[in-house]
Amino acid sequence: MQKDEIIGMVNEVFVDEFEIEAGALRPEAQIFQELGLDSLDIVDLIVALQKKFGVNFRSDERIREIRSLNDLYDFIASLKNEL
Amino acid sequence: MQGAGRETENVPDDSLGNPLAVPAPQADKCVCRTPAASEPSSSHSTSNIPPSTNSRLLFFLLNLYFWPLFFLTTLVGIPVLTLLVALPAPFRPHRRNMRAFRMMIVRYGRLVLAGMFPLVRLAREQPLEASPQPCIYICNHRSASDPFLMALLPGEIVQVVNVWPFHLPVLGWFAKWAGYLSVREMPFERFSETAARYLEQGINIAAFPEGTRSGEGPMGPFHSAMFRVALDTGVPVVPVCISGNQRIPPKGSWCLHPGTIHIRVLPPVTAETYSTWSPFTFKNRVHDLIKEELARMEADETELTATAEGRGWRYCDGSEQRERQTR
Repeated sequence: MQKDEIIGMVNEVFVDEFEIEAGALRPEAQIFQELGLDSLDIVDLIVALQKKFGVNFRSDERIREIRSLNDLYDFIASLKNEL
Repeated sequence: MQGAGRETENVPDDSLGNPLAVPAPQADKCVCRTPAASEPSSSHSTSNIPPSTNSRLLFFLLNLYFWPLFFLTTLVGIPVLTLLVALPAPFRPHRRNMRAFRMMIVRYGRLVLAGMFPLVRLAREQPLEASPQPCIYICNHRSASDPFLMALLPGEIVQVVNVWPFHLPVLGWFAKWAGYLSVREMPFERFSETAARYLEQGINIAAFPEGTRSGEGPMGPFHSAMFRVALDTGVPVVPVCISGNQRIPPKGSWCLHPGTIHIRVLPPVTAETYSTWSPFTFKNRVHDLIKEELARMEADETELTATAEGRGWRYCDGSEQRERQTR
């Protein structure tokens, strides 16, 4: 799966599930501070991403390191490469 | 949604009969003769104005009388009120005792607010129809005085608090005994179940979903916990806008500045409206409602303050002109 495809799918989740405008989804955008998600929203985000990409990563320790959208794209890309 | 059908109330001239009241400023009603130079306008713009000697004097005067009154109220008022609740406790069911205990906290809160009069005044506005009960009050959070202002909202209330208020002597213990919810110290599932149980019992919940005081800065983003509880239980959410208390006291200080605190209760957002929203959408829509209303309140304040032409006092309904003629 190409990175561009991953970016598109991740952004779709933000637009569909959180009604965040596509223009706000810059790779460097901070998920907590700039996009306004809180710890409970992150749980919803994980559920939506798992459904979208057909992977289970809820217990993956690496998700604690994710701060920006770019971190999230990289994380999903690494997950897909591991499959 | 916010402008029409509003009823202005003098606060809290109800059960305590205290003299705090200043009706909220309205175009056709007069009321206020309030020290504007010493009062930071909610537009946050006046905080940089150097205080005049007069306002400095009022500032010292306020802190000189408020803090002794506060400690007196706490040291004497709390034991007396507790005794009044505790004496009949063995003869009443637990639920009634808890209600009495929470209402005691409300009375204590009103006493503390009364202690700030006359240099800090309160104005509350609410819709013509009373807020539905039970409900979830969602408030913006600028100052440490906000939890005390919850005493002006109707009904039995449990507040959602941060970690540190629970560790305050006396007040923290009472918050714990009253079943206040510490959202950061309990798993969300337990928090949600407890909140739902309170609402089932007819107890309102008041929350400051910014999680921390914004002070004189912009309103912070909301946490979604209480909005998730609303989605689970279907109770109405009542947005509450608090303006004018960002320096009563300022963040990081215990010194109160004279001024007028405005509390505007907005019409409820009911389950019919929010049932299709996600928690994220819900919190952001209520956030925007409060933010927009605060901007309106602050614009009103700025306009009123401007009419005093920088003389340090603001008037409405012609009082300003009369004053000018007498100069």
